[in-house]
Amino acid sequence: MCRGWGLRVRIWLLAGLLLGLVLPARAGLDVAVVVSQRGGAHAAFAQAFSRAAAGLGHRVLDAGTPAEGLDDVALARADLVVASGDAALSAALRLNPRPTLAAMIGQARFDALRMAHPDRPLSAFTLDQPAERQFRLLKAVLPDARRAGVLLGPERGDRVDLERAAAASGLDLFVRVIGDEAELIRGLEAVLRDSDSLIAVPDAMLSSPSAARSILLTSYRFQKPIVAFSRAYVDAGALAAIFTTPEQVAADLIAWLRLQKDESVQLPPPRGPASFDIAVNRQVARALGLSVADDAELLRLIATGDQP
Amino acid sequence: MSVRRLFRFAVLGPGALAADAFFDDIPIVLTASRMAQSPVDAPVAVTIIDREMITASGFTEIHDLMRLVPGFMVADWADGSPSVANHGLGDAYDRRIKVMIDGRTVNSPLWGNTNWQDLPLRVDDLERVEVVRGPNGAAYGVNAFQAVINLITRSPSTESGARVISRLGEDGFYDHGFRANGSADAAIDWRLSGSHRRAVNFRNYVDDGGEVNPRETITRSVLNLSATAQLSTRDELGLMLGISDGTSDRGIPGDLEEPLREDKSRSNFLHLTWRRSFAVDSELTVQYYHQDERMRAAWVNTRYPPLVIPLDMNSDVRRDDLEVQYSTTLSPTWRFMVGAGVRREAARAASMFNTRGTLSGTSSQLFGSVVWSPVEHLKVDLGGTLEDHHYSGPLFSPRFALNYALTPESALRLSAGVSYRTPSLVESNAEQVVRIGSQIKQLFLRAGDDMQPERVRHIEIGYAAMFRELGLGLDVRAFHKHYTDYIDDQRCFYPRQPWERPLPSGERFCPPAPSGYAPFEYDLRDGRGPRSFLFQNAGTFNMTGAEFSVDWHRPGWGRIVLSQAVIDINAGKDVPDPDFDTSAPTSITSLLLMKDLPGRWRASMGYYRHAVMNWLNDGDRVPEQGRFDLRLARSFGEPGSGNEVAVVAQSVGGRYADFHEGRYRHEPRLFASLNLSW
Repeated sequence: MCRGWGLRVRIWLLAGLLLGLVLPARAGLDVAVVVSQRGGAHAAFAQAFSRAAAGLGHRVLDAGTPAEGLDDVALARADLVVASGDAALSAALRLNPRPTLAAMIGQARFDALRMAHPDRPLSAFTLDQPAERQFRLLKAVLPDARRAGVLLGPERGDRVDLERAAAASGLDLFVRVIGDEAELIRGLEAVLRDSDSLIAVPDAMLSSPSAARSILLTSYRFQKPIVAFSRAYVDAGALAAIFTTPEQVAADLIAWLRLQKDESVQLPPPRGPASFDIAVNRQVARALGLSVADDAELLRLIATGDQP
Repeated sequence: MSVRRLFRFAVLGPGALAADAFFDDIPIVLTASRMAQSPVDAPVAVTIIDREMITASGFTEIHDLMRLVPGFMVADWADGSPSVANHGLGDAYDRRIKVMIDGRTVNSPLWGNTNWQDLPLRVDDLERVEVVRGPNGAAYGVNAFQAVINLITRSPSTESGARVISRLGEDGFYDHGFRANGSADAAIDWRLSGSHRRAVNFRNYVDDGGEVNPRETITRSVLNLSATAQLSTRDELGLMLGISDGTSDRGIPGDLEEPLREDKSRSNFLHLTWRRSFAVDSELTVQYYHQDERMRAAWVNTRYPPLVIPLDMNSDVRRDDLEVQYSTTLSPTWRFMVGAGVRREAARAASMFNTRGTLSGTSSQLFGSVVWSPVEHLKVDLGGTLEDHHYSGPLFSPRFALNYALTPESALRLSAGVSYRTPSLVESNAEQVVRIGSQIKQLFLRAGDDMQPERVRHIEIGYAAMFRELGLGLDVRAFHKHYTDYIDDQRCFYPRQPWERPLPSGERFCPPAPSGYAPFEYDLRDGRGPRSFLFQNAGTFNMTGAEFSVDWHRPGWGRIVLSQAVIDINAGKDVPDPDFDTSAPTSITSLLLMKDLPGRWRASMGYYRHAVMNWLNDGDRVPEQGRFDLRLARSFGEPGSGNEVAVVAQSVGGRYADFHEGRYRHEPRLFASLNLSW
């Protein structure tokens, strides 16, 4: 499946290139795309983005992956470099400074790379949902929730923003920060004991498979639902999650790209995702004795901020 | 994925995998088999005893937790393991209730009972207990006859650091334990727990006639290791092993027939699992386990000098079991589970079986179930197990259940089925002898010929509901069960003279004794003469009853769990034991009250009451009585640490009659506990 996706990406990149060649009258931009991996979510993003960007008349170039090596020439002449994921951005930043737009990357990782390359023309469409959106989902799936717990790892997140967003949803927030994975269980138990739900945040340490496993099992032990940030978390046992799909990230980029002039690029300020989707694990809801509204109603509640 | 790659995945550890929080896969942790099924959805009556109830009850022994289950009775006696019964039919060997630890059957292959005090597991290891309160051979195979108790241990990945749990009380009671967990960032989650305990269960009770009755003091050491390795996001390997070793001081001081003695018991197990999770409701599991038990209990009877009669209940038993199970959802309206297993049981007990050889038998089973939802609110559940049993041959246990959801959180349930209990190795092979030299001087238990398995046809109707806004859970049911071929041991006699004929009183002769049988003179002179107890299919009877349980919870206030059962046994004329009708009390009540108090204090009270009843065989009448337990605890240290001091008073109303009113008095117990982690 991954191989197939990679092939499709290449076909679309080639198609974009050909489209650029046969439509010389319209200048368009040279857009070099670097992906962290040929498969999975990054391939899905690259495919969706390349198809749409080519449709806008831009010349989309496959500039490789960190594993395969990057196409220095393509990157050097590009008007815009689009890097999908952490590894792709790290690799692209080691080459000539071209305006670079990161996508499919978390806010914390992007901030770290930006600090390491302060002089580079760099921005991002990050994956982190606004805290308010995640709390709205929490209230939509658990209308009776009063006190949400959050465990923060070394990346710490934006605690003030979390507290503000929780208050806006009428929730008290119980936050605990842990320094390493050895503190995970005790931190979790402290948070779960005093909360009626857990908000999972995309901290790298807390998102490792072993940490996620501990978080899921311990939360279930306390019979407290988790509202998370990825579809995988819901498949693994979280009650619900709000996230942006690779196709939606691509659509956000394309919406911005439409506004760009043909021969110059003005990078936007780093921003979070405009589009999002949700997933609910109905078996977990049942096991926790929760009656959760259907997906369409949940999306409406999140969009409007209404409470059921 | 190759095995080599799988292990590389595990050895790399979690750090290597934390590349992309948003899109990386996460192990499918909460599969349907891991989560407790809501009583609202279950096809049969289920009670869940959660961690909060376990702690609040103050119980330190696992069998005592069953007092919290509607319809269940618990008894202890000084001459063997405690016994648990559901809806009566209880005696010293609780072989009609299947007990499992994380999917591993722990009933002893010898008697089919559960040696509760020898389980290599402590209450502190338990996450929760799920109790199927009725026959369920369709899902658990033969011998899930009166109930199924699933003891579910705490996953090592939900604990960290180290902890000591120490209990110290009056009358020399102590129970010291530790728990140590591997580092949370290691590739393998593991926990090692151990404990050492001593308890005086029975003192020598002197009854009204001045007769001294047996005592029991137990000492046990338990060690338990649980480890899991997440090989990939789909695959998990589990390893559990444990050992329980100890002694039981029993007997009567100065008594010639039951002198003081020290019984030694030891049990070990190894349990390996591989679980591949495809989705929350789709997984494949393969498990193998081995368990063995060793009992050394020997003494001499010198009541009839100059005779010195050697007696023992020595035994070595083992079970090996391999099982594979697959479950998945075919469509939103169809779900199925299918599996197969093979089990070998072996026992060596020279006195019990009159042979120094090992008896063994291999049984295999095929099982499956289908759940179909033809319309939105209705679920039809069909299940069955076909078991080829080494003694009873092929047996099919079917079940049919309907679950109709009145609201998303309430349902009506109707289920009916047939379940079997096959004779245990003792019931099917016993030839319990007392030997002096080459002569058999006494014959106690003897197996009957061609015994049929016990069968129960059962039907129940139930209602389960959660009123979440009120914090209230409700479970009500009524049941009717029809039993045939009930197996009991009945007294029989050996003719003192070849021409002797049975008396018209209904007393019967035993089958011919084995060669070398030369009874003691005093047996020949006594009453009807030498006797044995013969296992036989002995009767047909009906059981009808109803139960309810209420679980009310209010954050900041506390929780109340109340249950009540009423039971009526109507034995047929072919049931010879006159105590049979009253083997279940007409009324059983349990109440657990948990109250949050200011300043991190918590108080709880348990109350367990039953009407007059009779325990069968070695047991006897116990009067209507209630037992009060109290617990007062205060947590300290940082929130989530679990640090706590507590005081527990069990049976505060004084000692009470247990199992046999004339012989056993259970003592009150007062102890303090400390739970400290770092």
